[in-house]
Formats: sequence, C-alpha cells, structure tokens
Amino acid sequence: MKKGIYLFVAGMVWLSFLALSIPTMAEAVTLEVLNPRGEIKPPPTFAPTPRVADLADKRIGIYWNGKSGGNNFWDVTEELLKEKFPTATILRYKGPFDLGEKTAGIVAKEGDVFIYGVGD
Amino acid sequence: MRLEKLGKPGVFVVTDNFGHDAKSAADDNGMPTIRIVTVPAQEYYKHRITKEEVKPIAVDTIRLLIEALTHPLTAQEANPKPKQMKISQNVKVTAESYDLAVEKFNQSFLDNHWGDGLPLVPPTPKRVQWMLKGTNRSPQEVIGAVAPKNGVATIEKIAINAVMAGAKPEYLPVIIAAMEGLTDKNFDLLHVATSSGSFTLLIMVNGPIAKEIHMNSGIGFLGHGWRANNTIGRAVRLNLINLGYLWPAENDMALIGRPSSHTFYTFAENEENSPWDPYHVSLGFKKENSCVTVSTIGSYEGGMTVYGGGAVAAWSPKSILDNIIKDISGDRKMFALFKRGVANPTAHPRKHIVMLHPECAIELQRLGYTRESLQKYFYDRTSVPYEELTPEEARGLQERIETSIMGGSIMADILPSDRIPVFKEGLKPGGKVPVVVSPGDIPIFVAGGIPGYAFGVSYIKAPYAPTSHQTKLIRGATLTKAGR
Repeated sequence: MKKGIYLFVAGMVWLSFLALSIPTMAEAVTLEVLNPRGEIKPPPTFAPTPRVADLADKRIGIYWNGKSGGNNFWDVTEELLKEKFPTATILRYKGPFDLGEKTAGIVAKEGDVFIYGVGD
Repeated sequence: MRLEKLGKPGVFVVTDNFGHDAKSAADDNGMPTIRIVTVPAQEYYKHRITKEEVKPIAVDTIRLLIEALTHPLTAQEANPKPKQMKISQNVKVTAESYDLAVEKFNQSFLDNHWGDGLPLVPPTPKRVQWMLKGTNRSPQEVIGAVAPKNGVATIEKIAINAVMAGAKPEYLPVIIAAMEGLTDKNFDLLHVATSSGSFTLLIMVNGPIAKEIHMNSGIGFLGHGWRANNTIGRAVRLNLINLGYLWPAENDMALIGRPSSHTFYTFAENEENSPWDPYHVSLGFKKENSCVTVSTIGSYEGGMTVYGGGAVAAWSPKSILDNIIKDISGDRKMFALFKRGVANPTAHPRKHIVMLHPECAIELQRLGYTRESLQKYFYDRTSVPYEELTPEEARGLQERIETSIMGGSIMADILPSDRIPVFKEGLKPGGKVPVVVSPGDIPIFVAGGIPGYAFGVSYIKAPYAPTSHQTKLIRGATLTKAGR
C-alpha cells in the first residue's frame, strides 16, 4: 500500500515536470504600429434649405456640366416637368462641375429650385 | 451646395456608381444631408446617346426629383451632426508569431483602405524614428492638406507612409518635397487624384541627390528594380491614400486605374548625359540644389506619344522635331471648341512634357538648340497665322479671350492675364495664335539611356487650381551631402 502511494506521488511529480517541459501555447506577439492616416479638420456644417411645397408656378433651374449625352437626359426631364407642372418655368444652365460663386449668384436669383446634374 | 447656401432648395443628380463619391464630397464640404438622386449607371451611360433611348431612365427618375425638391426635410436632414473624427495614434496587432502578426497587420491595413494592395512594411515607432533620421525637420511640421478630404500632411505622417512603402531614410527629404509640390495651393491635386479620366503623376528628381540615392535615369527609368525610384513613388501613393483618404471607386474614380499607380512615373533626369544644364537650373535653381518636379500627365488614352528613337527604327533629330510639332499642333482643335464648361478634353489648352533621350538631346545641342530655344521653337512652329484661322476658330478664340477677361468659366479654359495680350495680338492680321499658352507649357526633360526614346506626355490645363506642374527644393536632408 505504502509502495503504491510512493509510486503515485512519483508519477504525479514526473507528470508535473512533463507538463512544464511541453509548451502549451506559443507566446503571443503584439505588433505596435503608428497610424498612417492624417487628421482632418472638420468643416463647418450646414443644413440644406427647406423644400418648397409644390413645383407649380416655380422657376426650376437645371444645371448641367456639358458631359456628352446629358443634354438628352435633361431635355426629356424638362419635357416631363412641363407635363406635370405646366405653370412652372424651366431654366437651363450649362457650366463647369463647380458653377462658381458668380454663376451661383445668378442661378439663385433666377430660380426658385434647382436640379444639379453633372452627368456622371 | 453653393445654391443651397444661397437659400435655394436643390437636388444633386449623379449615376449610382458615383453616389458614394457624391455623398463623400458632401460630407467633406459640410453639407452631409444634401439630397442626392442617383440614376442607374448601367442604363444611363449606354442609353444617353439619344433622347428616345434615355427617356425611360428620365421617366423613372422624375418622381424622385420632384420628391427631393418638395418633401420636407426630416429632423435629421435639417440638423446634420458636425463631423467628428478621432484618429488613434497607435494601432496594435496581436498574433501567435511575428510572421502572423505581420500578415494580420497587412490584412488589417488593407481592409481599412490604408494600404495599396502590395505588402507593407510595419510602421513601428522604432522604424518611423529611423525614417525621421533622414531629415532635420520637426515631425510636427505641417506641409499642407491632401485632397480630396484634406488630411493634414505632417513630416511624421509622411515618414510613416514612407516606412510602409519600403523607403530608406535618405529618400525622405525627396518624398517630403514631392508632397510639398502636391499640397501647394496652386497645384491641382484634386483632379489628378479623383478624376474618372485616369490621369497620373510624373515625379522627377534633379540635382546631386539623385545620384547619391542611386536613382535610375537610364534604360528602364520608368520601370521596376530601383529602390529609390520605386519606393519614393510608392510613398507618395500611400501618402495620397492615407492623407487624402483616397480609395478606388469611392472617391478615386479612375475608371481603368492610373498608369503605374503604385509608384507613379518616378525617375531622375539624366543630367550626366544631358548636354544642357539640368531642368531645375532652367527654372532659376542653383546647379548644386536638388529638386523634385511633380506634374500631372495623361492616362492610357493619349497618355504617351513616341516621337522616335529606340533600337529598331532609324531616326534623325529632324524627324523627331517634326513629330513633336505634329503632336502639339493637334491642340489647335481647342480654338473652335471653346464653350463654357463643356467637359471635352480637346477644348482646353494643354501642357506638353517633351522627354528627350540623351542621344537626341546631344544632337539637338550640336545643331545649336538650348532647352529654352527648343521650347520657343516648338511654341513658334505650332502657332497658327491669323489668316489661316477658320471663322469658327476665330470666334472660339475671341470668346475665350473675353471670358478670360471677365474671369468666367473653369480654370482649364481661361487664359492667364499675362497671356491675354499675346492672344489678342494673334487675332489681328499678320498675327499668330499659339496653341500652347506659353513656351513654359512645353517643359523639356532629358531622360533614358542610350539608345532611348523621345516621347511626350500631356495634360489639359488644370481645372480646379492654377497649375498641374510644380518644382520644389529638397531641403533638410541629414544623410546625404545634397539636399541639406
């Protein structure tokens, strides 16, 4: 019986050594790197202008940047708007992608609402 | 957005493939809830050719347009939240081994759109410090803002991206100078970075630093195999991705990608075999200075025109000059095509970069040409006598002059004020109208080996800023004799 206990204890000691000598898991590696992204200074935020209730009697501006085929799309859009709102006036404008401050002033003065279509 | 700010309700219309780009631009410019209506790109582009074909798309869209103009703004639209952005300084990646951590880092950076698709060098604090040893400039120094989202470019951020590109510290001052050129307020970075036209960049290094860092200017100068050429260009690319927040099909809309998009066309002028002073000296810099020139150039379509040279076909200086003149003369199309705002590349004045291989430059020098006299020669030989102008060309030119005086249209169309008198004089009997705005719009570089090719790359006058061509002095170098 005593011999059995000695054998058991010896076995446990041996197993403990064995457990310690076998790596249970590879040690984790942490790679610390610097963030390559640049800070962005947030711009002031603006809300769009409140909408109109109806397009009847309104002056609707259509602004297009002249890219090929856009004229066909906007010609049809103009016809459809005239059908739906016979009393509305459609104003057509053509200019660069960014219409610029000067043209924006003119367009804003002449129209009540606008559609800004740059063709792509 | 300008019209909304002037109190007019509107709707922005784009194809659905550009919807993300439009929303992103709205966010960047402070009106995140602007109303956008998209039309299906798959249908629109192929059917826009006639009214009849495009009508079904307009019919499907009209209801959306009306609603966008008449449906009241929601509470969220009327009270957009200010943009908040917090950038962490450090990023940690943990894995079971170093190799796996590097792999995880690469995948994570690419997933975040912080990489370029090729493996990256991890920008550890230690590695970035190593990179910063290449310059004596403060890591916190701000170089500028990078379009389109205007991320701030500091020396440290440029160094981080240079590490990721695999650059060496002695290249850093060159990369910084290139970024100074691209973020200069006069340089139109927005167009080259984002346009669907797939334009790309040329990055040329001049001065003694090029040799010190072993840049290639001979055979294969636009190709692979040269660490300085390739990683300087790649560092610029990564800086544009991470500081400009660029990503393909989101806000970089190059439809077929950009030629040499990972490294751009980065090379050194072949000063050793050039018969003339280096390009930067022609701009007023000292010969012992080192400089970087950044310049937007065309894409696959009309991007590169070979004028002659090579190891196969015979050539002469005359045949090459004739081909250059023929190429530049094609710009005459823009005379008649002037219409305000029309998006037609041939309607705008152009810049022509003429790349001469050393043999050709040497022969031209023997014939008595200098870089400056050659520019003037091309400018004069391509100018069109008043008597040869068609009525339509004369009308277009007159309209361009008048619009330029009034300050209208886009920058790509208008003439600089100091060149308007030249065009006015050209429009008189006995006068000649230039097809390039000034001789300076035909920069001449000497590059390539022996044998080599003479070729040209060109680009329209920049649409959103005054120039597409900048040369910056390299300074602050600590590891090279040049560029200090």
